[in-house]
Amino acid sequence: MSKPTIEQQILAARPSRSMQNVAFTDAVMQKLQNREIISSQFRRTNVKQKETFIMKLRTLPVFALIAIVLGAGMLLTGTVYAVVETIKSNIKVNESGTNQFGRNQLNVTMKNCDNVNKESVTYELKRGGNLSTDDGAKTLQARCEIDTINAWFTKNNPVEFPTRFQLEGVDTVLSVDDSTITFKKTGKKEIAANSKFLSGFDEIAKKDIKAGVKVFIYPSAISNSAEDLTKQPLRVFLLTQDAKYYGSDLQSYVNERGTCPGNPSRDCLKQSNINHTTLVISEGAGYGNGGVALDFKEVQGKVVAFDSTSITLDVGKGVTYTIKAPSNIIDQYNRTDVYKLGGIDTIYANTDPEDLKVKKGDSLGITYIGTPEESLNTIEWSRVLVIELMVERVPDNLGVLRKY
Amino acid sequence: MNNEKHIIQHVINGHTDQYRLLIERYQTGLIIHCENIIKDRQDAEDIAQESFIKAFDMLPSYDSSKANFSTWLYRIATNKAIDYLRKNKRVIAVDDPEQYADEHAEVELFDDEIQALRSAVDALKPPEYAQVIKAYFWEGKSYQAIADELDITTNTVGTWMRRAKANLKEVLA
Repeated sequence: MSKPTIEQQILAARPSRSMQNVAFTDAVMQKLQNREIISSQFRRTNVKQKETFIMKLRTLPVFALIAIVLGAGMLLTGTVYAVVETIKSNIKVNESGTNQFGRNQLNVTMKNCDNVNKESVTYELKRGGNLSTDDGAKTLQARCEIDTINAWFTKNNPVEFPTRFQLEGVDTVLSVDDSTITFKKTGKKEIAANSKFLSGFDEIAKKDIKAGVKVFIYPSAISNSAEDLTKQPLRVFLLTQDAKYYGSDLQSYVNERGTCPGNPSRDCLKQSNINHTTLVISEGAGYGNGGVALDFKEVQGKVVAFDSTSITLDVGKGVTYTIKAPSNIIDQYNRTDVYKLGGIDTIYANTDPEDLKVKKGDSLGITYIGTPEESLNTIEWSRVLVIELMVERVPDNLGVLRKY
Repeated sequence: MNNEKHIIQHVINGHTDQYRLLIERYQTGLIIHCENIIKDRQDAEDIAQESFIKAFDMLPSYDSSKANFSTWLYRIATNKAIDYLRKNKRVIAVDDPEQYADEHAEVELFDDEIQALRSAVDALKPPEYAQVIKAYFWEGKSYQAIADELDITTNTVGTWMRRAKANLKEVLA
């Protein structure tokens, strides 16, 4: 390897607490947050799994999301008449209620979302988000359509995969003629060659795109503002829900619960969006496993006790986990680390550090390593990868964090 | 870097907010890298942003056994910068994007090398040389921002930067 340039050396010597371009970081994170598609399936899928998934797509029945537009949109001197839509939902609510953490949740069956079926999936509604069960179901229906669009791009246009799959990409058709479509937000677009009109994975005819229908359009006005995209091929997907259900706010208010990664006997919140996050309390010693292949495992629970030797968590159903520690790492975190965060990040700067101190009853996530078959309730420090405080952004004030 | 691998694994597992740690770690160098290719600070920042977003989307396919994250990220940014030049019908001075990215990606130094470099920066004379080096490489400020702060022209910033780098090369040789 050649000697680093002087520029590389200077950069490498940058103090870790150098002033950050917070606006830049926030801009990127905001764009990610604004993206409509928060596809946990896509993000969690590694390459090997993804290949398998795409291979499966070839053998599955053609995607059956049907958004039948029955009504006729008539365009008379600029006046758009409402259309009547008959929507076949992909989401069936099996039951709803309150879970052991006091949060509302619904269990659903999902058909043909992301081209896969899930028989019984539980979603928790965000505390303070004021979502009804109906809102939750509509948000999941929107997510189903988002995931399907995402999967379509993954399969058909991986190179052009939208990097700004945002709420702004959801639009309403105002009028259609032989050569153009006019959208409410994106404006008039030429229907270039190779443009595609889709309902889920199914191609539909241009005549099915009528005035008044809600669609996801790519490229949209915000897909890439630096380019003239007027004449690029369009991909227009029919949607079934109001635009707000595709937005990052509501999407982040509905979070999947399920078995913990690598730990099927335990129940975990799937933290699949950036509205839900964690603060690192301490890294463990678990990396030094001598190259032995061990699985990543997770467990989540409420703090029952902590001292200089261990942390005890209530992980639900009357089960406790003990995490051995070399010192009182929660006390150390409370005394130091929470105060550092405000200096590097505007979100933490907006949050009172006192609100992020760990107390009994707070929820922690533990990531550790272990063999696939073992299920230990006592985790030695040598197995611990990281101990984190579960936090979430406050509904209606996403610039502030609070403990989950 | 174990910590970085852990962060990446966490982001892939859905802890998306931790991606900001990677952005904070690499943003300054990546913007400078893009700026070196396309010679425009504002567009360089836009391309760096797009590169972080693209990298986020592609993170599940990142293979740490083939390249470290910095190199991989710089390859994405290099390709995006070249695409930008191509679309804007500008001259592309990079022959082999992958090699270029690999040669400019961030590196890790040993602690004694870091201390030596920081000391050399602090010892630069006149002290304004150290100011521009720190502002540009460590604080991520543009030439224009530095010029405004120090009440000098961007040309002067460039002159001081060149001299400062030459001095550092000499001291560290």
